[in-house]
Amino acid sequence: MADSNRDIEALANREYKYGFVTEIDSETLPRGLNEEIVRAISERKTEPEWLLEWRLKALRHWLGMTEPSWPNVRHPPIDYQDIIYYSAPKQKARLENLDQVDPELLATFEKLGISLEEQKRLSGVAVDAVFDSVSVATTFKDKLAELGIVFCSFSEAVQSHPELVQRYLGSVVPYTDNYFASLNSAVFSDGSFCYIPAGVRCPMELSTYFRINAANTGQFERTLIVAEPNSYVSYLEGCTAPMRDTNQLHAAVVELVALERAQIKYSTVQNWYPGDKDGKGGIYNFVTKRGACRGRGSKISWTQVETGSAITWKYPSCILQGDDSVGEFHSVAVTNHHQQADTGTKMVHIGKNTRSTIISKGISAGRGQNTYRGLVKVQKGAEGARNFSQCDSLLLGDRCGAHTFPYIEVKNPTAKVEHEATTSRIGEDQIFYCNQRGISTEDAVTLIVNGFCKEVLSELPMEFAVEARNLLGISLEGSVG
Amino acid sequence: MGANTLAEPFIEDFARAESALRAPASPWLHPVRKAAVSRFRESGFPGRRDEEWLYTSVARVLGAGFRSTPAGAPPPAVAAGAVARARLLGAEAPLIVFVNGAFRRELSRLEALPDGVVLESLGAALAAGGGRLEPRFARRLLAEERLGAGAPPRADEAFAALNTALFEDGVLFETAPKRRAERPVEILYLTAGVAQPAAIHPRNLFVIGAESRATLVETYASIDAGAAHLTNALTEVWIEPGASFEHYKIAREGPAAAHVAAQRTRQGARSSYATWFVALGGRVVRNEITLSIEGEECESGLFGIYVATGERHVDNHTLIHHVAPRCHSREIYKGILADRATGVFSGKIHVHQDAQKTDAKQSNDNLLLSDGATANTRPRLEIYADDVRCTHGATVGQLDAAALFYLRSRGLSLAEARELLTRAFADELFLQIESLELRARLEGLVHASLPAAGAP
Repeated sequence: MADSNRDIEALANREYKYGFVTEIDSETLPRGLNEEIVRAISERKTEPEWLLEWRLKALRHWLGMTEPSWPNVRHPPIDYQDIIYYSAPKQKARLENLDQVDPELLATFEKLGISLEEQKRLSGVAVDAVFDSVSVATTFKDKLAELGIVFCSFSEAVQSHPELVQRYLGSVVPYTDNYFASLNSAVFSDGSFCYIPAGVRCPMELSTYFRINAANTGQFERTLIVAEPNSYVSYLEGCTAPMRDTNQLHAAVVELVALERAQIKYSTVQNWYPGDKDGKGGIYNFVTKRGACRGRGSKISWTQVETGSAITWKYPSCILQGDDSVGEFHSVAVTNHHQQADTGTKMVHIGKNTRSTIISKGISAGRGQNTYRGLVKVQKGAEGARNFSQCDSLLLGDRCGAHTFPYIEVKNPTAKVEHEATTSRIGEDQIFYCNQRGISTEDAVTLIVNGFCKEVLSELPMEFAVEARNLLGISLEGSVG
Repeated sequence: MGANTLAEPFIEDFARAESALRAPASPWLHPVRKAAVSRFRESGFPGRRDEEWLYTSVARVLGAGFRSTPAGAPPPAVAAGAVARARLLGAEAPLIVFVNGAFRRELSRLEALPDGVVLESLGAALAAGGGRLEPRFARRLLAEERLGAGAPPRADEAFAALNTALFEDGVLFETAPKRRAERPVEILYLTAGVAQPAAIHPRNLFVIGAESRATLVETYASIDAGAAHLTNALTEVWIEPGASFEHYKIAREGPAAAHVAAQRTRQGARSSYATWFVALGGRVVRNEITLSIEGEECESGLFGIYVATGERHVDNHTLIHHVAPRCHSREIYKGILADRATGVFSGKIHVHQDAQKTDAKQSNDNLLLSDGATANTRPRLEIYADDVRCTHGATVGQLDAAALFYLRSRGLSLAEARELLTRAFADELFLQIESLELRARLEGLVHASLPAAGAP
């Protein structure tokens, strides 16, 4: 709101702020996908035999699948044999402190505004930065280790805590789950792993910073978070990506396991490159995120702010197995120019007295298409299950679309399920009121959009909430005439 | 049983009946039938993963299989009393009766028709030379044309294609322009004396002339409760500019019957339309309504109530295309489900790019009265215009424990309290009916079908 008299035209035509490429030697495998590639990835990461077997099973399963066609999105066919499935920034030696990190990498982070030193010193946020596919630096590890918390890159976890990884990997999202999850299971390169021991409340917000770098490299992260009984963790994930002309595929898998009375709060700010204003380029973000509330009274809460990507396709879900467990989903999705988003959630009520809340805010501008697709399923044994869903859409412009596809399946008469949705645009009277009080039209729109999203933004941790508000403003630049 | 094994008998039915279905006076009709059968052959029935048939299995609809009755079978005897019992309206209202899909003049009451109103057998009209009907027959909706004509045949239209290929008879209802028909007319589709599982494909064409007004009640009922039969109905409705049409459809066939129906309506400018679907019987019921609002400043209402007990399955499928600007639609569907019954609601509002100032409201409420009952609901909005107000809501729940307690504290028995609250749940819907007489009759019919109240 501060810089109020901005030139709308200039802003509308501004290039993607975070679009730049870092020149670093990448150790890259040839294009294409077959057993050899999978074996090569596994070998490079010196993985145990069981993990290679698991990857191969996933690959074989994937080869028999067809790409889903039900999402309400359109894109040219993806040639899965034309993708480089592995590329790692060269690492000379094991890094113990930041001085040993490639200075070019550090400079990139500087440009992104996450100087590791700054982060470490000032914000109290431990950052596990994933640059392309391999973690290069991890901070605050010692501090976390004192409490018994494991927070490291996925490959590291495979080496240091194989029993935990083997026990939980694929237990929430099996390798047979869906097309993109199977693909990820076969070729995932790295990601984050987090384990909170029983009774521990993680003292800081854990965060990773993903970034796609080498050209034509799909990025396949795998995140696994396990919270033991009575523990608590808040995890943040945020993305920016450099500018590209060819579409990049991003198919991540996130698995959360919350045991008895454990709580996991997972927040995402997603700002992958959305393509230019004519819809050229941009990331395809096809993600599978799911959490299992396995014990009595466990709670998983998803919060997402989706402003980037040419196409977003993701449904962070909660399997409410334990009695009295709670699932939450708070989402803001913005589509501008030619962006398409098909996103929502699944709440599967299995245990007794399980509760879920869904708050989804979709904002469409330009030629953007925004779809909410959600499933609320109450199974037979879910006595006293309760769901409340609210999906609101805001339309800015006459060439965009907003769609709502909720699926509600109830098999228990004691369940109480409510869904409501509205679609509207910003009223001329609202704008007029703001103008008349001296607020410019563009600021008025930002103000109203922020108000529209307030319920979701207030769920975000402080650091993210500020960033998310700015992001909403930037994403909608040029959409108001 | 695969979808194609299910399709084969219907293709055979067409080959067998093809020559009998020819109407020499309407030479344009046969190519339409041939095209429909080839579309059906190509698409087959919708499979398990078809989004539009997600909650209803075609195998379950078709059960052991249904065959068309060969032409020339003697018409079954139906007592006048049975006809009177199946009627919703009083004895004086004009009535047209079909038994097993065939028009029965002696059971109908067509002499009371007012001037300017046509209510007759569509089969007879086509046999007598239905050239004027051609432009109204089996036409695509404007909304569908806009979304892309020439698309490959879709499996979710399989039943409609079958109807076009195989229909023998049905109703032609027309009102002349500016004709205000005050009295409602009634259609009865009865099934009687069916020895083996029979497929019947009724076909209706309603044309409501410009600035005219009409009310129509349509009932589907079985006379022998245990008989297995499939009704696969298709109704095309044209509402001309400025016209006003109220349509009530009641499905209360026997517990072994399967009912699949599609209703396609186009609305011209400044017209008003209210369509009711009341599902009270049948083993499996699937009712599809596609409404294309093609003229400006229309009013549309889609109302439905479904009551299901036992193992019954009721699937309501509606699609409203807002093609023209400044139209107002509202949709209310309510389900009461007991025992092991399943209720499905899948409603979509599609607001096209030019349909600015659309105001659309949709709601679906479900009451689950027993442990085994299931409600699946899918209210969908697809919006491509910005200056619109669209809302939808869906609820699934049970009778409010506090309300039950209140009523019992006032001296009502548990059964009485449950019955009262169940009736109240449905009541809001009936208030939408303007005619007090119709409201009372429909309410009586629904109340009589409610599951016996008692402890859950």
